Amino acid sequence: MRSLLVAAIVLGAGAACKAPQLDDEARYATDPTFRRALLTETLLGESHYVKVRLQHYASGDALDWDRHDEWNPQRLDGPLETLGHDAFFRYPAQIAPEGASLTAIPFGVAVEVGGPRPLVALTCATCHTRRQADGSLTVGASNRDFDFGALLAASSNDPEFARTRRAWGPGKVDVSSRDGTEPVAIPDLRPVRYQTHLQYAGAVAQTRLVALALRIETLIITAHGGALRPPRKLTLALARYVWSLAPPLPQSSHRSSRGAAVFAQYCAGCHRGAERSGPPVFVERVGTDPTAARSSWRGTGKYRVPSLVGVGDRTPLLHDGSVEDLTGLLDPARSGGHAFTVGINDTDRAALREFLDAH
Amino acid sequence: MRKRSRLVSLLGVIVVFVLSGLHGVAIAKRSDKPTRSRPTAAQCATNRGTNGKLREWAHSACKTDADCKAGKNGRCTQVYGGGRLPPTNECSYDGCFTDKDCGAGTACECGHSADATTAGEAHQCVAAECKVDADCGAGGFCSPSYSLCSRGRDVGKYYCHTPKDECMVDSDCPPPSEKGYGPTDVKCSFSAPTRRWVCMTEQCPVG
Repeated sequence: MRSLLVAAIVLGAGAACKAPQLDDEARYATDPTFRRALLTETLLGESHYVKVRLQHYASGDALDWDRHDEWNPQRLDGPLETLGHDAFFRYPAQIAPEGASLTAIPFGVAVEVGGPRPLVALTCATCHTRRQADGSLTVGASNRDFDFGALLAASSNDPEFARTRRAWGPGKVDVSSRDGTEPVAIPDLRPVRYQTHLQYAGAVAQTRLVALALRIETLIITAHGGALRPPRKLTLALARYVWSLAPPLPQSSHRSSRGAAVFAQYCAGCHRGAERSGPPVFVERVGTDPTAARSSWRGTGKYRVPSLVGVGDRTPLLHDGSVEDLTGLLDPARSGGHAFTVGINDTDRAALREFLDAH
Repeated sequence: MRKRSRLVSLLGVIVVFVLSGLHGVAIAKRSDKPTRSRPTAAQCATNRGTNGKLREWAHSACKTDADCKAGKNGRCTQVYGGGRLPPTNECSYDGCFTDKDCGAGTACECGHSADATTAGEAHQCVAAECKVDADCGAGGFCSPSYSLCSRGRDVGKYYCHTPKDECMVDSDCPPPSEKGYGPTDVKCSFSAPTRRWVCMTEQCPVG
């Protein structure tokens, strides 16, 4: 299918006798040179994560992931506007650990692949959709009830493997280290649109929408051991869908309040602009647990600056989920790093809280 | 102008032809047989060594084998947690000795160490689509594939090799790139979605 798509474009270019002007999304879908350039443009640092992708994605390497056939067992298709939602809830992003039943996987899917039994798989929604007490769904929010480590532990006959995975607890997963000793909180995807960088350590620059699509593509490829790749139409749709989950940007009318002044003094140095995000900050400055930032698997020495748009509705906070919510973050008695607001007085704290809650 | 247009079109056809033949990994020669398979049903050793008396780590379930009485061949074993988790002692038990001890869809994976002075790994029932090579047809092989982000002995499941396989053994897979990106572990593993053995890189939790 990819070849036919490329053929249509190349032959079309031949007929017109000039290079077609393709936008980012079309080039991402059809041009391996563009994808390679996009990969190198967005990967930061020299971690294992970066090296593996440079080695295998559109690299010409013998194990080039770019050459794999597309895997779309659910035959998901349709307009990008609806395909993203469908893929978020139905595309098998990762095969579940051996022995896991569908009932143990929120928003999991069963996939027929010709084996003795259907495969049970996780979807994006498994980790990134929260079912609230009233039964409603918050799409994009981290699923704090999902204990992936427990499922992995139950699937293994290696006691050390099992012990480290059990130690993660619900709502956390180690997506980086091979020994499972660097768990982080499952992130909330709703503010992703406003992030300059992706992943807690900011190893991927989100320069544009297709950077997120590429990030999602390599994420699914590595989750399947580099043995297959998702359709790029699907990863583009997912990227668009994730961006669509973003809360609205704050209104300018709030910027003259007392809370806005407190925010400008204590927060805006890192959480900049309307998006209240910004480039990653060295872990020494942030002061939180440095494990993920300094990880040889995926670390950059820094932590990304999460967008604070909608932060009042987000839980837990910080990369390791060590703070329950905004109330906990602004608690003057709190320890554990990110102490930028610890010294402010009660009036200013209340104003800041009101300011952040307002948008 | 028309000549140039034809030339570009021809190049397009060549590009399509080349790209359409590039799916999959180019394996120079696939090995004839896997490193590990099951020509006969499992028959695991019944004797098991001992680790002796262990240091008493916090939160340990045992100090000696005598504390492990909940199963067969109970042995007190030190388990490392990795990272900041301190070691601990846990009991390990043999879960089987032959395939018949395991239920449907599982096979007995023999453990224990060749060194009789340690307890080694316990025998365990593991998931299996096949139990012996003969289950995979004449001349077939039933081999263990590794599980998600696994290490060392950890076996995910036994699968049959297929004619569509890209590889039989790890050494069939291309060596790490010489482009200086660093080593990548590549194992000949069973890809459950595509139902064949392929050269796979790491397979860790999605994220």
